[in-house]
Amino acid sequence: MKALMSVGALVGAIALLLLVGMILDVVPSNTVRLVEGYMPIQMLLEVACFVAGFTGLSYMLSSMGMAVPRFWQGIGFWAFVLLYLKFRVYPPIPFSVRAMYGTVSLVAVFMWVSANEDDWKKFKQPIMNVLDAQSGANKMLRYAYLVLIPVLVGFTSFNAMKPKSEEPIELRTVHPAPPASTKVHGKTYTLQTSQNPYRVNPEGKFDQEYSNKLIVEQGMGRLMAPNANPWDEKNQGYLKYVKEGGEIFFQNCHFCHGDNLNGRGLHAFAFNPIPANFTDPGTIAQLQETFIFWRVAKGGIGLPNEGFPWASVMPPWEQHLTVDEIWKVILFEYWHTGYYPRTWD
Amino acid sequence: MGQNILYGIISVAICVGYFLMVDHFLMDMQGLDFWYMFRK
Amino acid sequence: MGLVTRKKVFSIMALCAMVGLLLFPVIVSLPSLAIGADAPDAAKKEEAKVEKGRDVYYKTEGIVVGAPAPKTVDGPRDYPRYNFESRVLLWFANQQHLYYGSFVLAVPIFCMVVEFMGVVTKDKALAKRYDQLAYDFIKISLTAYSLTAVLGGILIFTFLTLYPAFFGYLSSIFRPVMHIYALMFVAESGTLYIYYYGWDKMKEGFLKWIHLSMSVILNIIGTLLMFLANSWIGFMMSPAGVDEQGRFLGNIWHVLHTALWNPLNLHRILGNMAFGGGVVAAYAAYKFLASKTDEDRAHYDWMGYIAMALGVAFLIPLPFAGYWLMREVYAYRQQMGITLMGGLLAWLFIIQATMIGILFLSTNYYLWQAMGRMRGAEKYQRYIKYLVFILACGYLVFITPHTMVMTPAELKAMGGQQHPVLGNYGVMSAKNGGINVIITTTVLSFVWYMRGNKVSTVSWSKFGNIFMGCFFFFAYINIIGLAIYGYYIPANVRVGLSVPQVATTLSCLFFMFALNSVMMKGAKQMGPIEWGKISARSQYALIMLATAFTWMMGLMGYIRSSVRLFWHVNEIMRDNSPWAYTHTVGFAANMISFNVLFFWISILFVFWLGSLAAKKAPVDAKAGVPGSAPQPAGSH
Repeated sequence: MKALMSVGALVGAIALLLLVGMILDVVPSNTVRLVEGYMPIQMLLEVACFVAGFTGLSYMLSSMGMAVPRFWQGIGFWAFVLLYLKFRVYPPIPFSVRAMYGTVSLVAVFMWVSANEDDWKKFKQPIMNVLDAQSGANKMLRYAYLVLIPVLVGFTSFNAMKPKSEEPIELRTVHPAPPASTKVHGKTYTLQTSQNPYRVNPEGKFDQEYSNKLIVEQGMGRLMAPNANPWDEKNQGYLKYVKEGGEIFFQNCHFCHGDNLNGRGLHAFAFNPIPANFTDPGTIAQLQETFIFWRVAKGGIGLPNEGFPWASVMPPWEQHLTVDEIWKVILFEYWHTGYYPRTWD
Repeated sequence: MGQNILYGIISVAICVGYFLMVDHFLMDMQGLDFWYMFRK
Repeated sequence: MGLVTRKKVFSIMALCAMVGLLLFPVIVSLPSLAIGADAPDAAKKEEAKVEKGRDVYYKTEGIVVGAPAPKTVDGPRDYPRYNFESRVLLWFANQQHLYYGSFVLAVPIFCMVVEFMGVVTKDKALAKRYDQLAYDFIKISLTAYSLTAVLGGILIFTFLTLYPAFFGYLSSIFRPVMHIYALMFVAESGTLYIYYYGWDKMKEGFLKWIHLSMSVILNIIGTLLMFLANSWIGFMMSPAGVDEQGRFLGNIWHVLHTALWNPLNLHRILGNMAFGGGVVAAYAAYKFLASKTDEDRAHYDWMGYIAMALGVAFLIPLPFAGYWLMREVYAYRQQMGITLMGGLLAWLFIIQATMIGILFLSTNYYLWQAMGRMRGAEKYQRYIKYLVFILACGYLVFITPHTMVMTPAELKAMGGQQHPVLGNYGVMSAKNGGINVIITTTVLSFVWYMRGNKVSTVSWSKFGNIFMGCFFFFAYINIIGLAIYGYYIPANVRVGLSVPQVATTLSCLFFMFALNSVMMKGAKQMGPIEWGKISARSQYALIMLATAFTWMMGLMGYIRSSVRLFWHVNEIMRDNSPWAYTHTVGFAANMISFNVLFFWISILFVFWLGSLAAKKAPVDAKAGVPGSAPQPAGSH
């Protein structure tokens, strides 16, 4: 047990040192890299490691006679969570999310320290000491709190009420509900039933299973199937349409959506919000092809009421492209990013 | 101690087998393929 | 079974009267149900003037019987108003009626269950306590019952005075249903009063079984009442039985049985039970904190536990009912589904996620406090911090929004709308994992609670313990593994993963509970459960539970109402009032909080009224030895 705890303590000490370094900006956040593709689990595992480390550290300290009181353990852990979220995770997490996480961790810490009567008594002890002190440092501390707490409350209220010169927060509906049908170049398309006419198998029938086998390997940038090369001149059907779609993409779309379809095109940072990142699992990966068709054809101007505040400079491409070109470019986007359009069944 | 390890192995076998069956058959019941990623 | 006494005869007559009252409206309505293919009124009209319409949902043809939905105009004729938003007034009246209605429907179900437990429990003292508990429950609900009716009246008057055009249209279509609804209230009241006032007279033997049957009838009537009321809401959201202009086509069954009727029915039965359990638990918590004697504390501690257990038991299947409801909404109108979860109302579901987490965290916390009143449960205390950690991680993942609220400066620093790490928590694959982890942990806490003061004496207990540990461990692995797996497969396959995840959680629930009770048969007890010796914090957890249930009910009701956007009746009757817009999330949250606060203040008044009557209650109401209670068979 002691061996296990000392390993834990070592892990905890190193981790804490790294974190302190990140807080003081001595060490960059990506010293321990957040590995692409594993980040969410990596974050959870890191926090678990920290918890194990803290358990080890507190065990070692108490066996050395320097036990950390439950009160400081609780406050310390909560402070750790806040600092970890602010300084270790990159890019920076928005304040609203950190506030939610901070509140939940505060509740969790409270549940931990008050889980049974003994622990709760131990936790309350330092507070009671200050509140009940008749003499000494604790009494001074009580008077100091008497002054400090109103000052803190006043300062926080002042800060909250002070007019700020920042732009106000925008709650944007990223994927507004599509209309039941849309009219492009004189023809009406029912979004629930229309299909991409170019997502076809060699027999010419719509076949998503077939096309799914020929796309690029997600996140890896290499072809899934060895003979699925769109640049092969002898291609017919799906792969040929992918290539044609690619040509259209690089003539029209890559200026904003980027060469790697990651929303980092030439003009990307001239806009707010920046153009959609197709490699993100939250964009084309979870949408139906007809939704994309509607968005591409109608652009930002064509967003419905629900798309408030219509902060999209997506051009209405029906003014520049034919319907076939739109379908092909969508085909290409899915091929390149290695995603499948969402289906109903 | 040895008996505990034996109990542990049997339990692990039962649990892993059970959960794999749950995964497979419940996906199958919906017409979906649980082993999708491994079939590539 | 013995002499046919006068009491027995009268009691059987009373039971038959109740059944008759229950069936009477149904029988009376049969002729109108028969109006299906051919309308008997056809003879009145000339043959040439018979107009046919096509049902918007069932797509069947029917003869037009009613007037089209009125095209309202903003003005004093269609939308008379005070100098206040009518919609908010209606919201308030509706919500209060729903809260009270839900409460008075749930409590009789509790009564039925607890009275039944009182009849079948072999331990005489405990049986008496159960019976007394059921009696206490029904007493609370009696005052609430009249308030429910009053609020229903207020609701109807609000509809009539502020939305006459809409209500005129709705009542023209639902005319027979509304009459049956009113008649069934006669049945409900009659049954309730005989059930309550006849309690002492029907305490034993054959009469007790009649009494139990009455409770079943009471619940059937109550449930049917709710079903009828649900049909109005189902019609507003997913109309059927009318043509495109809103003209009634004669088939009342089509109008009742809309696409969303049954999902709403099931969801609301379960929701009522969970909510009712919460309210009763909060009542018990309040009485506990106000108790002056150990005996009182013991009684209310026990009551709170039973109410919480029943409430949480019905909370478990609630997500399935909710999922079914959402699926039916999507199947009915994809657009409504996307408005709900992908568009305008999506943030409300993050708030719902927060409330659900609060529910489960409160339940877990209560159970850990409850373990503190059992000798022998100390062995689990050291592991509670790990449960807290797991719960907190699951909760954090569960509440992470996909689209985060951020200032433009934060948006630029993030480099895009989605955070590369946290964005991954924002999708269903992670969230299903999070909530299933939370529920599995709750099951684990329950199992620890149930075996807290016992040591298993069966011969295979070592194997049993190891097996249980393995089962829970691999359940977690499976749930989290499936959540991660979801990221690597296409959406249509990923959607199906939620089923095995949930099955894993339910497996833990059923198998581990069953295995635990088998293992604990004849177990050695380290000490009795010391009812009453629980910390005050646990009672606050119960109050938190009740408040969270209440708030969540208000929130989901708001969502249900707003999904209709600018329609009174979806795609049939347009809302042309000046309030045909969706409120801001902040306003809605404030309104819900106001409703919750008002409900709780008023129900405290109801409880106080109940306690006034209690002064005449017999002294032997609390059976059993003061302080400790004998162990009930199989459960605590």
